[in-house]
Amino acid sequence: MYSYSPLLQAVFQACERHPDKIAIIAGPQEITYGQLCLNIRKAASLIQAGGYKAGDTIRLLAVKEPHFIYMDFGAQMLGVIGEMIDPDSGEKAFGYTPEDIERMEPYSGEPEGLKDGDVIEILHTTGTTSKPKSVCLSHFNIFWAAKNTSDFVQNDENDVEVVVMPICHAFGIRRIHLTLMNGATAVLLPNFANVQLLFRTMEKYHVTTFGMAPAAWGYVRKISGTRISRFAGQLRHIEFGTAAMPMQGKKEVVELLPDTRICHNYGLTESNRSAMIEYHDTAHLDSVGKPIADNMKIKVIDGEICVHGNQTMVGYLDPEDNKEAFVDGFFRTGDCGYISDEGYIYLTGRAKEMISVGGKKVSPVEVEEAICRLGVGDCICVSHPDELLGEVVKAFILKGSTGLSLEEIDRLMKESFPLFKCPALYEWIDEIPVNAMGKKQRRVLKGV
Amino acid sequence: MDYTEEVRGLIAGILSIPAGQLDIEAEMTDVEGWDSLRNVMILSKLEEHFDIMFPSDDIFDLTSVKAFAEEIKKLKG
Repeated sequence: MYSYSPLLQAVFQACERHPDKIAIIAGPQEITYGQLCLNIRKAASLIQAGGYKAGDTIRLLAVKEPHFIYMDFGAQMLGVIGEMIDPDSGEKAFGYTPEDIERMEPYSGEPEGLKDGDVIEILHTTGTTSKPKSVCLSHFNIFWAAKNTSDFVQNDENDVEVVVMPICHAFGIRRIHLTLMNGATAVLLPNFANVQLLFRTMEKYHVTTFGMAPAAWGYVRKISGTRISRFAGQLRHIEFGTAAMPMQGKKEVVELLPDTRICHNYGLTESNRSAMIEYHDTAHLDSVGKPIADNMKIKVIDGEICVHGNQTMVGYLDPEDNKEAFVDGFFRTGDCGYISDEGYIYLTGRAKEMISVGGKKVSPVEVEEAICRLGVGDCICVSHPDELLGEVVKAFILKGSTGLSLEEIDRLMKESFPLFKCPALYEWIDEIPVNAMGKKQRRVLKGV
Repeated sequence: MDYTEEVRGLIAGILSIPAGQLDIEAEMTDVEGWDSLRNVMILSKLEEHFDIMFPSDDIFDLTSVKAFAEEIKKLKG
């Protein structure tokens, strides 16, 4: 059954192994694998009754409720493409109630002519680094996205996951998929706000794993101090994603949870988690790790990190967006970096933040690091227009963070750093602009 | 002094809901929109408004309007 959907196959196999095992816990509801699969079939009937057929797109409000999970898999069963809508976006989606699913007869057929390469999921990028785009993923893509992640973090059927991240994005939805394909248990929580509830939940259901953003870790630490360490013996693995974790944070996580596998993904909606680093690999914590699996290839083309693997998207929905998306079949991440002799991937900046000094590419991050090595607390480098060279580097030095004068910094840089990479202009700045994730906002200073 | 209504009004303001709709006993998870981002805003707003600092050991237990009001009462003495 469902040869076109390895993900659906895995979930139904889990059901055959243990139909009475709890698959999903949401508040007072406890749903067994048997009930899950029955409800997936009922959701498929509801979608079919709505007039949808294979190849059509259904807009699904990605709320963290069991009924959304039924609809997600139900659509996959029919080959209907699920377009994930952020519940906070206010956008319209297919309207239904959980009771609508409940009263349907379970779908028992299997559509003909479907292939695992068919598009089955559309995700919207958040647009933090460029305009939002619609990413088309196939059955094959979403299965491997979940499987590669699961294999790396070492998730299995004995795990109990608390799902707290939003599930309209790749990070959260893949955590649900991998849990259910393994026959493990997912406990749904709306958000991280109530850390006390999070801990009560972890205790009650003996939670062994979860995924979180570094910002959420910062929040949990602020609210609960070091209390999370009491789960040190219970948590088997944690996955971080969506943004970089400051080095101090990485060390802190390992100190508080020394025996937990702490994985941090590097990825993007278009190619899911493409690389992973485990925090106990302390010698390489300044990298984003290595490719997540053998089926994921990563190479540097013209200074840009490019990825290709089983989980890499079919393409963007808008053909216009695809024009510059790939090179030699590899997806262009837009991140600049290099790969060390040991195979670790290091990021040096965003491609579009690269400063083109007379046609030579300069990474602002590299220049910032060089300036800081002189004894400067912090600085931010941006592109500045120049009549002769097109662009030059301009450095903003954090006021009060160094005993050096701007002239001294300029002299020391020119002594120790390739001249074309040295800032042509220096200025003091009262505060380094950063966004909520802690990323430096070079754009706001561009051309200033 | 009882700070419940004042705290309720401030928290409702941050959550953009009418104060009357905010159940003082409800745990934050059961209140629409009371997520971690908003909770950080609530913590700093209340600290500023009442000129207090929530001890880090106590923040963990501040999960409802009632809990906040009682904590403020304790801190204001």
